[in-house]
Amino acid sequence: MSYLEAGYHKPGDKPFTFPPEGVESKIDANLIGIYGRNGTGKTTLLNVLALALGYLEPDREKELETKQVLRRKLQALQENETLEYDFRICRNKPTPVDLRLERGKGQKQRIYLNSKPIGPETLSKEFDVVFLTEDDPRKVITANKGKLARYFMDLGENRLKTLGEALNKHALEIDEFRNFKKDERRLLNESQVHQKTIERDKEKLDELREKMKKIESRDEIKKKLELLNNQEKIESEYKGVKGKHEQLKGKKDAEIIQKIYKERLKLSTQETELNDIRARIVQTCDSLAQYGVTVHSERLLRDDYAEFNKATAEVRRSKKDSMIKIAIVDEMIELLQRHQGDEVVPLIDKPVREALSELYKMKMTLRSDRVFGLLTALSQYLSQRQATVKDRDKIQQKINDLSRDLEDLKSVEDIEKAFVEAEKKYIALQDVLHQDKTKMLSEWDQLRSVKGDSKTVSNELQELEVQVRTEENLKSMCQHKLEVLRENASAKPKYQGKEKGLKALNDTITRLRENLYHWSEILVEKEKRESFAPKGPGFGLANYEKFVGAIGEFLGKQFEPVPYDNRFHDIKFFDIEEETFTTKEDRQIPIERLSQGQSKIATLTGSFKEMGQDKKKIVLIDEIADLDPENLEKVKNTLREKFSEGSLLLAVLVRPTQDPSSRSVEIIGWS
Amino acid sequence: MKLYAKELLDKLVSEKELKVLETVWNDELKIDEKIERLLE
Repeated sequence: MSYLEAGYHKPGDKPFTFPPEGVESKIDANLIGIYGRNGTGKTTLLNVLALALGYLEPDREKELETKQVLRRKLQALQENETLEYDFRICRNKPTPVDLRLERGKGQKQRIYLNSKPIGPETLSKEFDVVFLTEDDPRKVITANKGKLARYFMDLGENRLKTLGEALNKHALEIDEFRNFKKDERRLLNESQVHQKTIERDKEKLDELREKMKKIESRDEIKKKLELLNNQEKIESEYKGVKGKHEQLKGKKDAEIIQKIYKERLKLSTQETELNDIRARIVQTCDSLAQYGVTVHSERLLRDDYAEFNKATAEVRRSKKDSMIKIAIVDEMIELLQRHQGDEVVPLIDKPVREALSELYKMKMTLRSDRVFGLLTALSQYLSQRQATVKDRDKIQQKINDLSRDLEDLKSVEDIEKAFVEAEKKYIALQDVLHQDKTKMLSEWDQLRSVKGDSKTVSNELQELEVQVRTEENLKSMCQHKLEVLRENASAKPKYQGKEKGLKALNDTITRLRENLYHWSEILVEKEKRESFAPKGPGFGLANYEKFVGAIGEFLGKQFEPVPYDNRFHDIKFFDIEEETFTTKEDRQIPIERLSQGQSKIATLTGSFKEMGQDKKKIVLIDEIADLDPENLEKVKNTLREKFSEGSLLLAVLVRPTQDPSSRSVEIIGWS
Repeated sequence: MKLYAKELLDKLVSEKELKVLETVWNDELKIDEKIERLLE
């Protein structure tokens, strides 16, 4: 089922539909409960069902006399060309029934019974409808008050507010047009003030920039002179660090460690060699002692050669001849070794081979003196020792150098930095050295008296630049306003000459908005009688009473005749303060006296009694919220009984739910 | 477009005010058309 509500829906809006999207429209049950939140279309569904089942047909005339509001609602639906629906009600036993009611947009209703088209008369003859509508007084009142409050807020805070704003805009245009010359003069003045400030600040900026330039030149020359003054120091530092840097450049920890390791191996070999030599020296000295020659080995090892030299000199003196002979023999051996073995040596007339053999024997004989031999060997050991000590010291020195490099590598980063710094200074110095020092000194004489530091002046410059930009923006805004003003003044305002009308209209809107606001607040019970002063300006007590009277009549008209004290009463007024109805006979009925649940049960039972027994019944009950569980069960029992005996075709019970977590609408079967 | 609850508003506002309400309620009119109509 769907339709558009005139006065509510705007072009392009989606129509009211039931069931809402996502809710299954078919249900395999004849006793149905529909639960949903307010505004989901439950009541409208029942109204449309009632309309489709012929509730507006002439034979219902009498019943509808007491249900004027319902009649108006159904008539409005009947005349609504956008209404469309398609209902199908089926039952298998005791006799099969398949009733279909459909209506397309702007078309008349078509009815089919067991697939055959029938007219409204047949429908009325075959089926009876019991429609117990929403008439719980408190709910009707609350719903109507809420709806009106929202409507008043929309009128005041949305529609009238927008209109008021538009009116004010027009009034402003007229005002601007009238005050054009004055405003133009003011804006021109403002613009000139900004311009003057800009010019003044720009002059200051130029001065500051000039000052900054001088400070920078002064600082630069000062720096150059400092470089020149420290020339020697800078050069020496640079060279020192550079040497160290180059020495370490490319070296790595691992390489140095490897080298140290190798050198240590060599050192160890040398130490072993020295120990061996020392042992030989000690042993030789001990042997010499056997022959009465005293040479202390420990003195020799301390490089004290006095005893050794003395002993050697004595032996050489006594062995002088032998020494000469040995020398001659050595020379002869050397000479003969240059010739072939079989060559003959003149003078002795023997082959070289034989002569050499004899010479060797002679040498052995000459050297056979033990003391002489021991001293000669000792001399050799001492020479060996000196050479080995020298080698060992060299290796030790190398190890020391490598260890220092290793230490230096640890601080290589610092050396690197120091080198970069020193190099920078050095390069700067070289540059300065090429410049004219006299000129530099002359410039220094001129600039040394310049005061201030570059950081402070730079800050001042930045602040002033921001100030200038701000002033330029303000001036630009002034000019823009001026342009807009002149443009607006070029055309006459739309409502020029209708200022009085605009003002009167604006006053009306303001007054209406105030009233609408208070009406809405009264309806939602935020403002009560005591909130309003009897006299004075604004919305007062008289306005409140006027509203209470009008709203009372309006709400009174929303009611069907209400059953009370065994009869129906026409309502003409509802007092929102006392929550009391006034009947057309001026009887007062407080709202809480009207118990709707009991009334529905009574009506239902009565309706079944009145109906023709041969007709199939369809029961529609709107809003059973106020029925307590016991009464609800009574209603359901009656319907179950009628359904099982076959006289009831369909029962739809509609009930509101306040649970916000539940689905908007639930359609369930019950039995 | 009929003004909702007109019979209630009839009792609460003047004829002139009712015209204002009816005009602002009419969504077929643009804002300037509403002003034109109300200034007539």
